Amino acid sequence: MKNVAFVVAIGAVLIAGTASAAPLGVNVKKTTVLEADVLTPSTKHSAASLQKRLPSFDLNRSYKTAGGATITGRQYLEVVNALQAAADKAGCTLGTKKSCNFIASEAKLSKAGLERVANLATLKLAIRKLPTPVKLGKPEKAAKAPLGFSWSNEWGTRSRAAVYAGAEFGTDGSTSSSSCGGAAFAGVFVFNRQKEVLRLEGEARAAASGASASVSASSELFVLGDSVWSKSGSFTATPLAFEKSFSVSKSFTYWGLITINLAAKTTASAYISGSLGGTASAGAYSCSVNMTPGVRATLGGSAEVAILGYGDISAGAVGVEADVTLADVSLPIKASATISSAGSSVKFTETLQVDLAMKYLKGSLDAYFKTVIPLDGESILDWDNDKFTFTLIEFDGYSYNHTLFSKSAEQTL
Amino acid sequence: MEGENAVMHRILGPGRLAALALLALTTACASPEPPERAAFIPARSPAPAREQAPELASVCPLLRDAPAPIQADITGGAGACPVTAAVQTAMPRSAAIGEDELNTLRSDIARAVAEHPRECVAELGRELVAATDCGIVYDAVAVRILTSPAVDPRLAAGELLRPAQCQWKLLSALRESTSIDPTIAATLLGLTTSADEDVRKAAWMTLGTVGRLARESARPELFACIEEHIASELRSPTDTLRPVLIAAAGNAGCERCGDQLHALLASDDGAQRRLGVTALRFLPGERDVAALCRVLLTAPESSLRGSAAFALRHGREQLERRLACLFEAATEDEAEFVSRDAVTSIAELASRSELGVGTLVQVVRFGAHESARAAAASALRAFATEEAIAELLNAPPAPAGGAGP
Repeated sequence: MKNVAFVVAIGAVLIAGTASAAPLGVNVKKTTVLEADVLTPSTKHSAASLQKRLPSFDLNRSYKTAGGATITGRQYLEVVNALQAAADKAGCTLGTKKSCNFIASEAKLSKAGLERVANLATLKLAIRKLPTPVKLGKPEKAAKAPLGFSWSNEWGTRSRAAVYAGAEFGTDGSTSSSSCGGAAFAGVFVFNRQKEVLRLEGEARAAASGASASVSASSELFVLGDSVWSKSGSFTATPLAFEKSFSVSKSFTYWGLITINLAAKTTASAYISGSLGGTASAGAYSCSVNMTPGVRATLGGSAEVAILGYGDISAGAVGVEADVTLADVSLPIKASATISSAGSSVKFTETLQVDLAMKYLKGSLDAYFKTVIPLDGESILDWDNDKFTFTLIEFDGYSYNHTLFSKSAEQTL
Repeated sequence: MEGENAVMHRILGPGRLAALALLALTTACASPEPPERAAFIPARSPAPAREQAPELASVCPLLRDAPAPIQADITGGAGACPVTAAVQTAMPRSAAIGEDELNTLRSDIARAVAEHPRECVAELGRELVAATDCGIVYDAVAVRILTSPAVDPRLAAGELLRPAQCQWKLLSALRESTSIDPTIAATLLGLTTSADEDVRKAAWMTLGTVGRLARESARPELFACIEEHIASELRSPTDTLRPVLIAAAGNAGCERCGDQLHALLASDDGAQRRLGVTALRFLPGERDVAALCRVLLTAPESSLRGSAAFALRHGREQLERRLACLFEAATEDEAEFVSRDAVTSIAELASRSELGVGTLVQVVRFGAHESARAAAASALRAFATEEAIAELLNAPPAPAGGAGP
């Protein structure tokens, strides 16, 4: 079932609601449209041709639109020709109540623009050379080259929609302590706006503390920058989910004529389960992490569409059809580190495994308007229900399951 | 019980407390449910956990005089809210529910709550009280009950007060609010003294988020109330609550907590330093950003430097300073993931500023690691054409100078 936003009100440019509709289908022709494209109609309407349909049509006369705005006959003619040219470009015929479909492409910085902002950065950022990080001395004998894992990846197109995930985890040990910890994160890009839906930071440490032994552990979960869950000490977390939505507004202008103001709303759930902790006793210190953070995110939206010179096309249906799964990604992380006495020496054993399971980027988001644009009560061109669709996001759907890192090691300290 | 009453008097005032008690009593007497069901009726309010409960005298008038919460009768039958049955079916299947079903459920709940706010708050409120799975479906219901514009904030606040297994989770759903009501804030403040430790913690952390939302939605007086309260508690916290209060201060962007948060950066305990770093993420001051930069550029522990890179992407102030030290980390840090974290933060800031885009260009040229340079180039694709980036990558790097790129 496809979730679809559609127009539910007359009198406004657009109000999005929810209903069902069939997808465009594989046989529907689509044409790429750039924001910088110029329209050149193959067939041009004239005042005379419109007068054949409506004898009272006059270029200089003011007409009232269905939305209450006024438009001159000349403006109306310009819109008619522009939309006719757009239909030509898409290879569709107006008046057949079919869709003209465009895959939208947007303007980006050229090399000159890129150089300009790079120079701006050079001038504005008074970068100071700060001291090189100081390495802490370790009084006790430390493990050599403990296991560490750092990985991140990204899928999709940031300027439309993309998803990313990553993790940085590691173990460490010395003759008197063991530690496991790091961070995992996952997020999305929607129209260039980055939103880190989930960031989990956690660490556990088991160590000698004077004459006794202690375990310290802490973990914190951030959802879109908010700390929503924080634990100190060892814990086991039953599956939890935290939903958060955010909207990104974006305008697209095509042919200097049609402006789509899109509010893309992402609804994401960050979830987590697992445990973190350790044990400490004389001569043996161990820590363990077994956490699965994950994110599920979908995209919907609403839109306003304006046609230059035409005012509110309030009689036209305008909306968004959206059914985009951005991601369902989880990163099961298992880490452990143990130090234990082995005769006169100390044995350090460690394991680290990080898996990735994800389904991502499936579906499409289209903004559309229907060409129900004759003047109020005066049907000049029979375009009712012809539909201009702009595909802003489109993905086929992918899945990926992989062990990112798996290693065990042992050494004598 | 005497303690509970005292706290409720402080939170709600005697008149409102009496009204709430009467409401609970009426609800209980009218209940046709068996005792097990009746146990869910909120006949009691959060008990105080300790002596340092918020003193009403110290709470600013905005919260002290906020209208009292009201509670829906959750003892009635089902049917008036069109999604109750669907929620009952889905709630225990949180872990297995599909994306399509979840999205449909979210839409249906939102529509039902908008059209039948009182009925849905009552019926879905009962499901929330009975829930034992605090998972994805619970959250979907909680968010829509608490944040729907159709629901009277006093009614939403009443739901927060019902003791339940997932009560702490209900509180945390307020992060989705777009407008903050004093009754909600006052109720959260009251719940910071709950006998349930999870509820107490969630109340503090959510209060922090609510405070920041109040500031962002031009309610500075409400933000100031909440900020002062968090700062006051943070001056003498219990050991159990200390990390939570730090997280609350971080969520709020609590400037008055600055001294305590900065002090954490000097702690011997790595976990405390990390908490301090992330808690500074929304603070706007020059010294706050400078402190994060210092950690990013000088901390011996790479994981702490990574946390600082993460923290620096959040604030909206001191953009140039943030970008300057993130650039430094992206081009100097020996740890590859810290360098990449810095690039991620620059990319986040680039979506708000051309200066950030320019910084990405410079990282493409001078990044410390190949992966950082690649990450910056990838981020640039959001802003520039493939041709422009290709030319940039092929161009000989400009001579590096003492002032940077």
